[in-house]
Amino acid sequence: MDKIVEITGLSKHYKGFSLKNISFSLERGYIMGFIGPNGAGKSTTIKLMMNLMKKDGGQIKLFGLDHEKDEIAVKERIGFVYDENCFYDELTVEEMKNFIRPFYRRWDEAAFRRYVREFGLPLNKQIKRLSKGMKMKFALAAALSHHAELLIMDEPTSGLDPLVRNELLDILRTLMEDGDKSVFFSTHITSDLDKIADYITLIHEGEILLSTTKEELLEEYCIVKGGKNLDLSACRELFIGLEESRYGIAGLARNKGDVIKRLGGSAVIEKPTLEDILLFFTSRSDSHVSSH
Amino acid sequence: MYHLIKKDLLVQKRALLLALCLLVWFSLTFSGMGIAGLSLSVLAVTYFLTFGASASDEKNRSDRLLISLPVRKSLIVAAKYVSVYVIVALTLFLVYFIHLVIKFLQLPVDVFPFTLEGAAGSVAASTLYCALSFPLIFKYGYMKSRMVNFILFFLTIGGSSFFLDWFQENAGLIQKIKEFFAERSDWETAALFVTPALVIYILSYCLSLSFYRKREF
Amino acid sequence: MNIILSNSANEPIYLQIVKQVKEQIIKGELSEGEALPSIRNLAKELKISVITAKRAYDELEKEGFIITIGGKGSFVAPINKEMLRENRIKRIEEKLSEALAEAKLIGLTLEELQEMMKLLDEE
Repeated sequence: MDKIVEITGLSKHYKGFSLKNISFSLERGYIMGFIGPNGAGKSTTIKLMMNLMKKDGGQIKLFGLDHEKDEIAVKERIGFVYDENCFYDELTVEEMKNFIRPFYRRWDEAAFRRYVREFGLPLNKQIKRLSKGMKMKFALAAALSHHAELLIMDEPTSGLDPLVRNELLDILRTLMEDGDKSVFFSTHITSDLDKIADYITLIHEGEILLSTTKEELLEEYCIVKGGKNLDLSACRELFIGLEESRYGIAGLARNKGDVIKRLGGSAVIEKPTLEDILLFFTSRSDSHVSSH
Repeated sequence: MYHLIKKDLLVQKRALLLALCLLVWFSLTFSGMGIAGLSLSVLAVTYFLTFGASASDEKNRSDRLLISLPVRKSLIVAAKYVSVYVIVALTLFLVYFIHLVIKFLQLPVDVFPFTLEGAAGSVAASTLYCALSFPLIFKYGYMKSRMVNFILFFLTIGGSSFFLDWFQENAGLIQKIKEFFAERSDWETAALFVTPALVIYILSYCLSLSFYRKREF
Repeated sequence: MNIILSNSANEPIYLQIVKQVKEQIIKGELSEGEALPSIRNLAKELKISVITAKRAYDELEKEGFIITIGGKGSFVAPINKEMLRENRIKRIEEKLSEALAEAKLIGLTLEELQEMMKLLDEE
């Protein structure tokens, strides 16, 4: 097992927010979707991985190396794409690339040129004049041009139109084909991950609620829809959350096999989307139906 | 390090042009100030360019980029400190160039003299000023320390002219100091001036680095 | 090899793949010894998770429809006529169990069910 990311017991406290006992791991060759609502701690976790913040406790191992002690060796192998532009607006694409390039020992200029062609990046345009989608593509090109083995993406698709989002997913799919790299994709736009993620880690209010394969998640959980008079007394404890509308109720339940057995034909049972899972696990409302 | 410094200049292409104009302006208006004219103009332009780079860094939130790159924080901070001297050298060169042009075209204007003492004064003033203000920038960021840095800047200028006045008044002391240095070789004189400046600069670097290491982004 | 996946169906994706590949092998659309795409290539083309693709191949291998040779890839296994028949019988059993379960739910007796079968057969 080649674990590219191994985080154990990570914690961080600052005013108004705490990251508590974060643990998860990611093997080489897979994509992990890191999902959670805004403010759940996704960006904080990434900042701790990249040493933009200092952790209070726990361990972060990247490529089997300590992320602080072997900081430089680790960062050489990481490509990063952040949501907000962190490049110099006044520089052109070419100038910005020339600034980044000398820091990486394994910079591959030919690869960068390939991405420039593929993405249609205008080398002589100032970064501030690029569209949001182009800025992201430039960040991606730079991240992929030094033989990075781990791609860390922090909300890379927020504010982008569906076309660009789809292009990104296609690029990631091609990237995963050799099984050599891993992608850590943090987002609250779960539809991007519905298709592409191998693993899903859900974070909420600083805690990991679940971390498993997407397969297991979709197998284990189901959406149950029924009329208002649906009798849930036999399986109430299996429900994560319940929503009531004028015409019926809908909820997320675990242990799909059990649910089907107990409710059978009296309810509609469906595959959940990642958004369903996110919503029901992190819902603040207590819209539970009392069972009769 | 070269690339970090180059970036500082590259992000301010427009500012460099403005710096040139400022130097022309200073050369003409400070002409009556003698040696101090050179030191002050260089200090002013160095302030303008060095902190212009910091402002650009902050505006672009590029600390996140720099720290995510495989480069040590010690190098990032060191580059800033070294860039000051690069900018001072560049500014001195520009001033010299301006004076050459004026002489060549035989323009009927007075400019302050370009002397070694003036240049040394530029280096000393810039060193001192940056040694004091950089730690603030590395701890609080450029924006938050802007006001304090501005005040420090004027204190440095005010302090320098106060210092010069004081020199004027204490001619006797000056005489003794002159004798003291006359007895020393050129190298010893240089060392006596450069060493404390370097020490302050290095202490400032250590402080800035420890601030930068602790800072969260 | 043709694979059409439906997201809206409740059937797990890996199972859809298994069924469709099995069918194509049985029908002869995929010939014995033919090389199948690598797991990762399949995942990329079908836009699914690598783990799902792996699960499909693992299941196909378990049921004896494909063989995976480490380093070389996966290939269609020689068709075992007996095994095919067993497979079919298993499926029929499953379908009959389903029918029985449904019948029980609405109180249909075994005789009524058998009657239904006769009628259907005559159609």
